[in-house]
Amino acid sequence: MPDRPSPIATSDADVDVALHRRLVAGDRAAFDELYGRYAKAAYGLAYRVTGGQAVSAQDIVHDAFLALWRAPDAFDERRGSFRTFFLSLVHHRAVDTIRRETRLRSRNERAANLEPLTGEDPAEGVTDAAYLAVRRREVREALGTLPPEQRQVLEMAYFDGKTQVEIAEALGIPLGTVKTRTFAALRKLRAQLEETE
Amino acid sequence: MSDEHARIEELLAGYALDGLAGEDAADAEALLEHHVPGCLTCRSTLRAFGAIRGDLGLVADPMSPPDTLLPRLHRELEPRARRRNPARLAAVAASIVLVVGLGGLGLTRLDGDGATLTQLSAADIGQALELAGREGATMNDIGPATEVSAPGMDHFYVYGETVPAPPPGEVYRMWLVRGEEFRYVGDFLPAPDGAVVLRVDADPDDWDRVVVTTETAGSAPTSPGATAWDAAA
Repeated sequence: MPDRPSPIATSDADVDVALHRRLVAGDRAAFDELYGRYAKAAYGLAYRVTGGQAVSAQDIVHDAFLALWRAPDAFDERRGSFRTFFLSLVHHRAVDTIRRETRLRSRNERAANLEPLTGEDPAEGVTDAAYLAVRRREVREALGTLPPEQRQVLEMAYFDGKTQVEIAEALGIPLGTVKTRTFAALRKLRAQLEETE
Repeated sequence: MSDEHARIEELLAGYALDGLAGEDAADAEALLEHHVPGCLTCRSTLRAFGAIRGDLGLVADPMSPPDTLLPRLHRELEPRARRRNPARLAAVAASIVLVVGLGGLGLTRLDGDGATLTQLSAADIGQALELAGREGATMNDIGPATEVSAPGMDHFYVYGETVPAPPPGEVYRMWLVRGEEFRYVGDFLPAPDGAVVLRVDADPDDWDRVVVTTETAGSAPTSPGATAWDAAA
């Protein structure tokens, strides 16, 4: 018998998968652990997409975690990481929220700009888990390599929730140009981020 | 890449960001139904763009949600599975008997070092039920399963109704842990319907924790790998 256990070291993706499996079985402690791992990133994203509406951001994160609890099988570990699955879920709900609100009332347009995305919103000096911080730095660096015109359409789509038609109208450029820039941006990010994943 | 494929991937980029409207949205839906499922390139592209969408969320600075959010969620989490009622064990037992009758649990019996993990027969399940009904019997959650033990017994049971299968090519591996020591118990797989009923021939009072890891099937049980479940023994 070995004298000492080896550290039960796992990758962060493995930890997420193990937690998710427990979640599937109705384990509330696993839910709390996933909340602890992703609530800050999720809330920061929702806050950013809603333009700093704390109440909406809270509702979005609430709804995303509740959806995760009620339908955990929506995540399939064979299709990607829990991290990207859950943040996509939050983003989808955030975009839905701002589009619904836009339909209800005119919303102050946030001018598309080329300012760096980091540090734009008050984040209370919150630090996130190390494994997310590392990936955050990689994603920000990859984003920083995009030509300004590609990053602009990506920002308007992702953080302002605009459709490609709306982006074309706002920038006064053909719809086809928006499509081309969006695709080029994602293709370039893919090449860089798949290397570092 | 053909011009047609270039057009398709442009659509997928817009789709991945929820950025399509009108005819483009309808075109994308049609592609997702008819073309993408059979196209390796497009499936790979869509998966990669979906991952980028998730990771772009990290560009936003992290923020602490209000302290009230988690308690609010707790109030709304409906229990999905009850595993502490011995009557449930009887229901599982019935299904296990059926599974055994159809060819076994898919459990690999391996003798460990002083502790064994045993596939339950229909007769054993009766003993598990008897144990669960004893005065002082305890039932502790261990991941998606429940550990059933009773005072003074030199064995305990682990059962679950909805245990997910481990990744392909892997098995669950049980360990007993005491301080810095650990002991390999055995490997197991859930039945196709997710049922697991195991007898562990070890006194739970001798150990601190029961740990279940996921391991490559057929690998040597030298030390615990990735923890899948963990509970006090």
